Amino acid sequence: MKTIIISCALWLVHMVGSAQADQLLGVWEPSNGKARVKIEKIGEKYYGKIVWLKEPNDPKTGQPKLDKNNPDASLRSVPLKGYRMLKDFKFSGNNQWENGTIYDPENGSTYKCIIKMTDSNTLDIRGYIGVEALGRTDVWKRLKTGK
Amino acid sequence: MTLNMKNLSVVCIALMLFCACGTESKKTYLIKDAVLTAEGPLFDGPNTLQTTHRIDLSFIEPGLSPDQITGVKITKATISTDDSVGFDQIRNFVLQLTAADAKMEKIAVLNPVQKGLKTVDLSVSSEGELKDNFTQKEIILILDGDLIGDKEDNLSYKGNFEFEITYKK
Repeated sequence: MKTIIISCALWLVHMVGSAQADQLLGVWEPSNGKARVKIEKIGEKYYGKIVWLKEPNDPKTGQPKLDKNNPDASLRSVPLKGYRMLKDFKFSGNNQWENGTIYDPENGSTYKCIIKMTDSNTLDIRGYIGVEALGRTDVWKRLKTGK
Repeated sequence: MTLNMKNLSVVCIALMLFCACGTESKKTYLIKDAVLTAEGPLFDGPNTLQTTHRIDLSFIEPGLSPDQITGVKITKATISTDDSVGFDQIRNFVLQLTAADAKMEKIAVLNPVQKGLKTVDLSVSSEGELKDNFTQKEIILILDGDLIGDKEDNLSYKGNFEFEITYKK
């Protein structure tokens, strides 16, 4: 009986933790309004891919924008629409997701990143190099409710 | 005499280091006929097809342990379909790989996908290092297919992948 109660309690704690972690799922818009990013769960980690671009085409070519600044030349034909710019985030409790990275397609750089949910429709996305103090925070707003 | 002893010591240390490092070998690790699936309904734009693969290093060499692996690169990625429309609904493919305690790596791309084909070879990354993924129990292969129009049903493709594994003997 005791074992069953403990098992149920652990399951409940796991379910509550999982529900809190999954609050991150949805479509979000960075403060510059240039893109919309859908955050999904793959395995136990969270990833964000660009699903909409204000300017989807390269003005020079008239073709869809590509990841032309990627340091790996063999991947420069990857389209920006669909690009996973947020990668490998794990929920660490307290409405925070850590150990991830954010990619800036405008310069081809990848930064360490922490996501903090300040309310159910607002994220503080902090990208940094080395230590967290040396970084920049952008505020993202949720576009849709639900997953 | 002192100088000779010194030289001999240097040679011995170098020999010991060489023996400790061991010799390295390279072999191909194959993932055959992996079924990558996305559940419908699916909408115009990039959709995620995925599959999980359990790493079996005995395929490379019996008794090979994860800490013997020194490098992993993708060398070939082929996607095929039995669907009568082939890949005509797909603009481009991007292939990624991840694992529980390893970073996601982008490993191959095909943009655009030619019409009328039922098998395509993706252009593989020359730089992506996948060692951290292959030392895990299982990996997740993620194929983003950029869909033209919406689709009610599931989307399912077959993938064949080749990786070059470098390991210490």
